[in-house]
Formats: sequence, structure tokens, C-alpha cells
Amino acid sequence: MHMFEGFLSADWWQVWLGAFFTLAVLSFLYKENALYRFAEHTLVGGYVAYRVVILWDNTLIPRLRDNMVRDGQWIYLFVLFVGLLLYTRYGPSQYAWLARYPIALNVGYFVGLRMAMLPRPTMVQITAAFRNLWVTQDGSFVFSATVNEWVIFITTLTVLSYFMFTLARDWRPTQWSGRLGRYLLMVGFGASFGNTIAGRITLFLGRADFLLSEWLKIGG
Amino acid sequence: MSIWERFERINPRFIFLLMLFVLITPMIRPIGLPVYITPLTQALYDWVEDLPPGSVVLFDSAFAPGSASEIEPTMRALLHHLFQNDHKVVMMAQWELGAMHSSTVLDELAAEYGKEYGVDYANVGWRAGSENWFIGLRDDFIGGMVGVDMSGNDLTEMPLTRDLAAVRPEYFAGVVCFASGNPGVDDWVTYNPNMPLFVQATAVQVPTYMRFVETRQIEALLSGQAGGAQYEQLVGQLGEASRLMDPQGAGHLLIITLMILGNIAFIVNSKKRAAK
Amino acid sequence: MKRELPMLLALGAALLRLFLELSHYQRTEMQWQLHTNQWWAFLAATAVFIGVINLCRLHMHRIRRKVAHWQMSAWCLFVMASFGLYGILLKGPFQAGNQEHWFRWIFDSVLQPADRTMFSLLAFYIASAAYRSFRMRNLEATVMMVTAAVLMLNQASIGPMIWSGWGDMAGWFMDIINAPAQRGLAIGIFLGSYAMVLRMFLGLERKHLGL
Repeated sequence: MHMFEGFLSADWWQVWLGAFFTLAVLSFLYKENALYRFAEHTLVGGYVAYRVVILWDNTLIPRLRDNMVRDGQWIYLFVLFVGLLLYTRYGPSQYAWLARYPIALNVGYFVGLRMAMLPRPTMVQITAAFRNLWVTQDGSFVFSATVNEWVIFITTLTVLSYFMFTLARDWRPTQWSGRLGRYLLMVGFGASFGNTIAGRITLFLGRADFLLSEWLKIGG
Repeated sequence: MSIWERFERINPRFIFLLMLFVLITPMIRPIGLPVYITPLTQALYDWVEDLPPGSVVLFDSAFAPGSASEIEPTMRALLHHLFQNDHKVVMMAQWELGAMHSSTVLDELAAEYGKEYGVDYANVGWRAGSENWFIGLRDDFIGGMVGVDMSGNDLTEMPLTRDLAAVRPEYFAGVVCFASGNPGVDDWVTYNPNMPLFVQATAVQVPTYMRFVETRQIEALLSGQAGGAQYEQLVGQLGEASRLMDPQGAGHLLIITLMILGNIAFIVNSKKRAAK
Repeated sequence: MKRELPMLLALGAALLRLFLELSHYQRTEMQWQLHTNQWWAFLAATAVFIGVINLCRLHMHRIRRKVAHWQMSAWCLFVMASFGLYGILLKGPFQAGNQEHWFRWIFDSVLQPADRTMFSLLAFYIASAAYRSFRMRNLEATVMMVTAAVLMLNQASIGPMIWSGWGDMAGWFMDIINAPAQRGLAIGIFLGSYAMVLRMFLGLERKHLGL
């Protein structure tokens, strides 16, 4: 066992602290307990602090110190003022409506951005839904590729029809196409489902690997 | 009570223990399952191989430490590949937690290859402002990054970053997005579609991104740990992902077995209940 | 002032953004247009302390009421205040300290392992769900489970060991059925979200303003 190699050095502490927090969180599998709560509250407090630090260091200070004071872009003082209005909702209630200004500016800008940008990638997808339904190579017909093209075409169409509520629901063809669309959609959900399981196992393996090879120094 | 009824009522803690046993045994005694390279992983490797020397590749850490086990192996293997071929890396992050996590990985690999900060690699990190910040980079990289890297160094003073005017193909050979959700791949596809985009995603995201592959909105797509193991094989730097593919397989088999047994129990028990 | 002005501001901001994106302006010539995104990004950055305030309010409330485990709330606030102040003051308030050794050391030793383990718990819950909830009650559920199993066996290289064509089969499911199904889904989602964006643009949707 080399668990105590470099005893009490910074690296040793790093591994042992990591192991402590890993085991504290894993203890939740047995039941909710004080160790888990300790780790959970440390994580929440630490993350909020981290976010503030990184924003302070990389956005607030350089904008105000460099852009505003050094380069004279005083507009940032105005933006800061508008942004601070957001905090009026924590003050006396008669001023809380002032928070609507920064929210309105932010949401409005997002709306404009989305209106302009969302259609383009979707149009690329819609274009891809139109298929070559008679595939030939060097003048001769290719059966398997043609079948695939038909499957792709029908899948897109029936899945879309599943979400269409304008066509009559009691009409046979729409019923059938909606039902087929639902089954084909299930293949997509099945893919996501299988991959979810794979991903979650990986996440635990990463921790188990840390405990075994870095903390206990066995295996690997 | 029949065995199937007992199975349905088994204490989940036994399943947890079984799972632990199944996952840890192959970690200590590996089986050596083969790794098959998929064309979508090969595409990333081929792209790096074909890059002209000294190309600048943009990394985008759009994940949190919570998903690192799925994503970090590819990041490491790809950094090996890029540094071996003398390319340069600029790391940005759409997730604030990804910024810090990735800086550790980047610094470690850069030190291994003796790369110089500001010349061969740089870490610009994350900024607030979500889409507005992100789309601003398309027009003005240094201004959007507020002129500094994560440590506060002036971007206009570092040889690597001073000429990177915008996140466009003229300045960056391509972007590799390490994605575990939103913001992430969709932002690149929507707001900066001209950048050649390569993706290492958490496995759960991959099915939804498959639609971007045929349309070439994504050039390469690596899936979770399997993607990492494949890239490690291609680069010849076997690491965490390759090592953990055995227990991964064991875990999948266990879950499928549990699903089958659970369904048998369900059928047997519901028949019994119906008979009563 | 309270109702109309926020609505007008939102409309103005939306029109400005639309104009900037659709007008094909010469980006290098019109510097101020370049900067609007940066102003708006900075506006979002000023909201940084909202999270801090919310966390403080929640935990102060718990401490005052002495609810069960209120000591943990005090610990949470202590961690937030000490780690935050440490990060900001490490190199003085006007220099970035987040890349300094000890700040990163704490992140890597405490936050990173705790966060990674938090998500890894899900592996166990999915195992216990596998025998209790994943039932093939109907054809839809069966299609879903079978696809999941095919892809899981493929991901872990077990499928291709059983049969050499397994990888192609899994690939066929992914490319030929999954991709267009996801495409149809995405087009449907686009229609829904675009309708929502238009409602907000036209002022029919005002909940975000509290109106």
C-alpha cells in the first residue's frame, strides 16, 4: 500500500480530500446522512462563490478598469446603472418595478436574436428532409441505399405528422402515420435511453477509478 | 411468496452492492474488450492529421466537472495529438465550471510537451452574457473576451492571441466543442455556423446531435467514454477511457440482465395476479 | 413608466438586434454595432450577485427559524463567503486571482470530486430502476427498450463480439431512424419555440416582465 506516500504534502491532501468528498457523497446510497449534507452544502456554497470570483475577475473588473476608466468607454457606467436596477426587487416594494427595465432590455434583445438566428439551422434540417428516393450509382439502381432513403423520408414525415394537430385526427391516414411516427420516435428515445445508461455508468466509473488508482493505489 | 415476487421487492441496496461488485471487479482484473473505431471518431483524427502545421484550434469547454469522466479522456488524447503535431490551442468555455476544470487538463498536457503559455496555448475562459457574449465573439474575439485571459493577462500582448480578431475560419482552423448540454453545440450551429465544428459529447446528447452529422453542421461526433477510448487508441495514448471500457461493458450487461429479469418478473407476477 | 416603457424597451431591443443581424452591415466599419453585444453581455454580468442574495436569503431564513440541520446552512454561507472573498482578494480586488495555485487547489480537491460524485450516484439509481420500472408494457416501450439494448451492447464492444454485423445494425438505427426522427422532433420544437418568440416580440407574452 502506497496510500501514505508523500504524507501530509499538498498532493497527498488533495487526494485525501477528494476521497473524503467522494465517499461522503456516495454514502447517500445507504441513506441521507450528515456527511452527505456536509458535502452538499460545501458544494453549493463553493460553486456560488466560484461563479462570483470568475465573473469578478474576467468580466466586471476588466470592463470597468480597462474599458471604462482606461479607454474612456463610459457607456459601461450607464449599463452598470441599468443592470443594478435589477436589485430593486430586493428593496422596498414601491421601487421593485424598476427591475423590469433591465429584464425588458435583456429579453427583448434575446427575442430579436432568436428571431434572426433560429430559422437558419432549422432550414438546413428541413432541406435535409427532402430525399433522393431513387438512388443510382454509375447509371445502375442501388437497392439498399434507396431503401434507406425511403426510411429516412418516411421517418421524418411521420414523426412530423405526429405533432400536427391541424389535420383531422379521426381520418385514417393521419391516424396511421401518427402511430407509425410514434414508434419511430421511440427508436430515437431508445437511443437516448441506452446512451443515458452508458453515460451514467461512465460517471461512476470515473469516481471508482479515482478511489482505486489514485487514493488506494491498486489496480489500473 | 415466489422467487419472482421476491425479486420485485428486493431492497435496492442489494442491487447497489451488486452493481458495485460488477463494476469494480473488471477494474482490478481487466478482461480486455476490443475497441472499435467509428467513422465519426476517425473524422476528428483525420482532420487533425491534415491540418497545416501551426494551426490554431479553439477548444470550447461546455461541461461541468459532473460530466468530466465522459469528456476529459478525449480532451486529453486530442491535446496529445495536437501538441505532438505542433498545433496551437486556445481554450474557451461556455460553462463557467468547465473553464476551471479544463485549465487543469490543459496546463498538465502543455507542461508534458514543454509548450509555452501565450505562444503555443492560451486559456481565455468563460464570460457572462450567454448568447450575447457568444455571438459577439464571432465579430470581435478580443473585445468579447474583455481583452484578457483567465489570469488577467492582456490578450493583445500574447503572440498567440493578439491577431485572433474573431471566431471565424480565417483565424481558427476549427472548434472542438466538449459538450454536455446547453449552452453548447446548438449555440455553435445556430450562432456561428461557419466554424468547422467537431464535437465530443456526453453519450446522452449524441442521438439528438446525429441529425447535424448528415447535414455537415457537425464534422465529427465522439460519444462519451467510448469516443474517448477510440481516440486514445488512434493517438496511441491509452488512458482512463480505454482502461474503463471493460467495467463499462460489465455494467451494460448487468443493466440489460436486470431489465430482462424485471420484465420476466413483471409478466409472471401479473399473470398470477390475474389468475387470483 | 411602469408598464409601457418596459414593453417599449423590449421592442426596441428586439428591433435593434434584428436590424444588426439582418442588415449585413460592414462589421469593421461600424464599431458601435460590434459593441452592442458586449454592452448586453455586461448587462447580464451585473446580475452576478442575484445568486448570492438568493442563497443568503434561503439559508438566513433557515438559520433564523432553526429548522433541522440549520448548522449546515451556516456552513454553506461560511464556505461561500470565505471562498468568494479569498478568490477576489487573493491578488487584490483589481487583479484576477482565479488561476492562482491555492484557489485552483481548493476547486480541484473539494468542489470537483464532490460534483463528479453527485452525478455518479445516478448510475445506481438507473440500476435499481432497471428491474423495477423499465417494463415492456406495450409495443412502444418494447421498441424503446430493444433499441436501447442494441446500442448499449454496441457501445461497450460486446455486440460486435457476438456478431460482426452488430456495429452496422446499431449504426443503421442511429443514422437511418434516429437521426430523421430527431430531425422531425427538432422541426416540431422549432415551430413551437418560434411561435413563442413571436408572441414575445408582439407583446402578447408579458409574464417575464411581471405584467
